[in-house]
Order: sequence, then structure tokens, then C-alpha cells
Amino acid sequence: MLKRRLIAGACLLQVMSWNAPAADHAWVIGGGPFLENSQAQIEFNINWVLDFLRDSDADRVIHTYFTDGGAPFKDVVEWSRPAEDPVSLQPLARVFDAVEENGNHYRNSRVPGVDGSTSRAELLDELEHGFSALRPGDRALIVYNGHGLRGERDAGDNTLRLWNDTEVTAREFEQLLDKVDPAVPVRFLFAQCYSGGFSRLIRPGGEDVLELAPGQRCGFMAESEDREAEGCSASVKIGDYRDYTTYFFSALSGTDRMGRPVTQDVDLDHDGRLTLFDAHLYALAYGYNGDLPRATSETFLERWQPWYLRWLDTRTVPDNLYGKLSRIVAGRLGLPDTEPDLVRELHARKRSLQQEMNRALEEHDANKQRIHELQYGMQRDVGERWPGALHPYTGNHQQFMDEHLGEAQAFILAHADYPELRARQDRQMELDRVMLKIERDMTQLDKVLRLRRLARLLDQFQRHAGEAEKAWFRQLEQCERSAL
Amino acid sequence: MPAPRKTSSNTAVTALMLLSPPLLYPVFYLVCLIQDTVLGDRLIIDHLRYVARRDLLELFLRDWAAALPVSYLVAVPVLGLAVLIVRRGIAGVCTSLAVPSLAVAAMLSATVLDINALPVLATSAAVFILLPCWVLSRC
Repeated sequence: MLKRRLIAGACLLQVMSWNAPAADHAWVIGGGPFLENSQAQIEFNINWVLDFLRDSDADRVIHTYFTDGGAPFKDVVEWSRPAEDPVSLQPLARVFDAVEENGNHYRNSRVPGVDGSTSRAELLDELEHGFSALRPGDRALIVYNGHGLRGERDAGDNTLRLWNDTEVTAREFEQLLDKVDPAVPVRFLFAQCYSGGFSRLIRPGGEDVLELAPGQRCGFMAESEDREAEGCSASVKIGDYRDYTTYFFSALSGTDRMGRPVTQDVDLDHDGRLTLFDAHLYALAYGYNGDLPRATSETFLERWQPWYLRWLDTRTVPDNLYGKLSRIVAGRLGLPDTEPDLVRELHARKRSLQQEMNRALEEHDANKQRIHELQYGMQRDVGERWPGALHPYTGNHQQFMDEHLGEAQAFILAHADYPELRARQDRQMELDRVMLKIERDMTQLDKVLRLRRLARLLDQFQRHAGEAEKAWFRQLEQCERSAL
Repeated sequence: MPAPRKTSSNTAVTALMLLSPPLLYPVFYLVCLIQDTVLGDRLIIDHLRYVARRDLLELFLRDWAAALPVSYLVAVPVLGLAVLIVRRGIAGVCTSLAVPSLAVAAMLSATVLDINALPVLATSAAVFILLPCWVLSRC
């Protein structure tokens, strides 16, 4: 009797699962690989994306994975400039090369509804389970906001940097996507450094081939497989962080991360619908950051291009979607709208920016050298008077901190080299900002060149690609041009 | 059929037949580079200056490998024709090969590829024909 009831119950559960309404699932994965590299700016972005995903569709099923998975430990670091006084220990930090660490504030993350950690084993297990549970009619969205590394062998080995300093490669992630029912569309957004490697998720085995893996997969990446993203720049510390995700979701939500309305036309492909592809185009056209994003349909075109077309014509710009977009970006940058003046001016600006960058790098290196010299001399002077200051993690150091800290900091503040050390360290941080701006300006110019290249590439594809290739491209387009 | 002018010319022609086709892509690339730098978006120079040079080299080598079978398919008949006609004089070879090659390049660019490809294809074809002719004339 009991057995019959159990069987009946199991059948009922099975029927219920068959009849479960189709749902939109979103996996939001983020945070750094360890405390020192788990910046609050990433958490800020993740929370903003989560808020938007919840507000835009109350029925959406959201799976959130962030750093240590809500454990009661400090897993986020936030930087703010310390006060220039002995109470904050800033004089001591300046001399003992801890000026950056002295501004760090550690705390537990504040991401609501976290389902688990991003630690490799746990995350892979959770994703496998979640992906296997998807049924036809469902849709999946994967958003990753964190850090990444470049693979040693090839782009398929580019990784997501996960909690506890673990990693998962693009190839391994592709194997996870094999668990998804082929009828379920999987859209993804990766914003880490070298994220272009994850465009391989659309290919069988994550290999460098043209054909598409079974199912419906498409996605968007903040950068190419060999370039660092904005998240690896100084901006992730200094609070000026605006990565690909920031612009992508601004387009979808209609407001930016600060709540300001988006004023530009977001339907850039003029199909009357707001799609993920529109959000990508918006980030390309209007994002002012160091990211040069790409969609899987674009990487598909690049992979398709045969050798005899690659450099054949780099002059003309067809009047297609990318051609129009290149003119929008060129106009925004104040570049001439006639050829060949546009290209000439663009390269002149690039050269000038590169010279500025070289000067900034030279100054940065020289400054660093001089800072080390000054620190070495001052450490020696402090060490002669209070040897315990030189040996942290010892009883002598504890004694120094308890009995001579005030005296030592007064000595540092009065030291003849201290004003120069302080000025040079402040200049070093200023140079980080200067280089970030140059990098962002260079990226804007690169966008124009990339969009012009994509315009030609699309034109070549439409004229020369075979039917099978065109069918794959249409499949990618259909997936990318879907609503959130 | 007249005898070859020199006994060494057969070896030279054989060597030319085997070694010329791999040069077709570098010649094509060089002409593309010049056009890109002078008239185009300067993508190759830009890549060399700002992006990883290793990537560009890898791309070049991959494209070169992909171009090799086509290069042999194109070059062997053309050079074979050259060997047959070479005994009748170098000027004749150049004329009889350069004219149809340029015509093929023009036809390819106008119909199959793109009219914008004409300068690159025509220059590549001319260089590729003139180079062996010059070598043959020295044998």
C-alpha cells in the first residue's frame, strides 16, 4: 500500500514538473577571487543588476552566487582615501609602502538572496544542477561580473576567477552548457578581463571552429580574448568604475547606475524592440570606458572571414548597421565626417594619446623609483631609532606600536624627505587617473575602427558566405535580438 | 620543340615551380599592407603599433597556411605555361601571362569579390608574374 502511494506521489510530482510553467532564469555570478581583489564596485554593480532583474520581471527566477556565498566573514574591500593625520597611521603607511592598503576597509558583502559561493566546486555543482533542470519554454540568462585571466594555451582556457582563488575555463563552462536542453535559449554576459575567450561558449567543446554547438546560445563580452577590461584598471578601486555591464543594463533599464535617465535612442537597430543586442550596441556607441565589447555574432563574423578577404579592402564603409554606428561614435568624438580626413585625424589623435601615455608611464616609473629611494632612507632613519618598527608580526613591533608610535610618526612628519614622499605618492595616484583617461580615450577611437571593420565584414559575409554559415549567423542573431 | 637554352635552366624552373607558390600570399599581403596604410584604415600598422604583435604573426601564418593550396593551384599552371613558353623568349612569357593574369584579377574583383579589391589583386598578380619572369630571365 505504502509502495503504491509512493509511486503515485512520484508520478504526480513528475506530472507537476512537466506542467510547470515556463520561466525565465537568471544566474548572476560575481565578486573577486579573494578578499583583497573583491572590490565593492563589483558588488555595487551586481546589486544594481539584481535590482533591475527583479523589478523588470517579478516571476523571473534568480540564482545568485557571490564570493563566499553569504558566509559571515569579510569578503569585500572598499577603498577610500585615509585622512592625512597620525590617527589614521597615514605617515607610517606612506613610509612603509602601505599607502594603498591603509585606505582599504573590509566588510561582509551586502548582496541579498545569495544562493551560494562562487568557489569552483560549489559553483560548478550548482550550475550543473540548475542547467539540467531547465525545460523547453524556459529561457536562461547568465551574468558574470568579476575578474578573469588569460589562458596559457589558447582563448578556450581563459578563465573566470572564482572565490578561494579558484578558476573555471571557457571550455569547462561550455561543458556545463551541454547540460541545458537544446530547446532552451541561453544568453550570457561576461564583463571580466579577456572575456572574449568566452565567445567560445557557442562552439562545440569551446574549440576554435566556426560551427555552432547544439542548442541556442549567444552572448556578449566586455572585451576581446587578449585585452584587459575596465575592471582591471585603477577605476575599480578609485570609485569611477563603469564597465560594460553598467552601460548594457542602463540601456535595458532606461536609467544609469546613479538613477539618471538614458537620453540617447536605445533602439539602435531600429527594429522597434528593445533587445539584448540593442543594449550591446548602446554600450558600443555611448559607453565611455576602457571596454571594447563584442557580441557572439560579431566574433562569428571574424572567425568566418577567409584569408583572401581579410585585408583586401580597408577603405570603404558600407552603409549598414555597423557603418551607421561608426558614424555615430565618430560624430560623438568630433572626428571629421569625410574620408580620408576621418582616418587621418583618428590616427593623429591615437598617436598623440600614445605619446601622452608613454610620458605618463615614464613619469610613473621614475616616480616609483624615487618613492622607493625615499622610503628606504626614511625606513632606515626610523629603524635606527625604533628597530621594532622594521619587524612586523613580532613582540618588538607590538612594543613599538604601544610605546613609540606617536613619537615615530612625529619624527616622520618632521623628516626633511616627507613632503617630497607625500607629493610623489599623491602624484602616482593622479597618474593612475591620467592613464585611465588616456586608455578610455584610446578605446573610443578603437571603437570607430572596429565598427568600420565590422561594417565591411558584415557586407562581405552577406555577399560571400555559404548557406550553412548564413543559417548559423541567423540563429545567433535571433538569439541576441531577444528581449531580456 | 627547341632544346633548353641552358642545362641549369631546368633546375631553376623546377625550383621556381616549387618555391614560388608560397610567395603568393606574402606578395598579396604586402600589397594589402601598402593599400591599407596609404588609402585604408591602417589596421595592420595599428595592430603592429598598439596590439600584440604575436597575434598578428599568428594570424598571418594561419592565413598563409590556408592560402597555400590555392597558391599552388593558381601558380603551378601559370608557371607551367611559363616553362612551355620560356624558350620563345622572356618578353613573350611576360606578355602572355601578365595580360591574362591581370584580366583574371580584374574579373575576380569586379564579379566575385569587390571592385575595391581591384588594385590589390591586379598589383599582386603583376608582381607575382613579373617576379618569376625576372628570375627566369636570369637563368
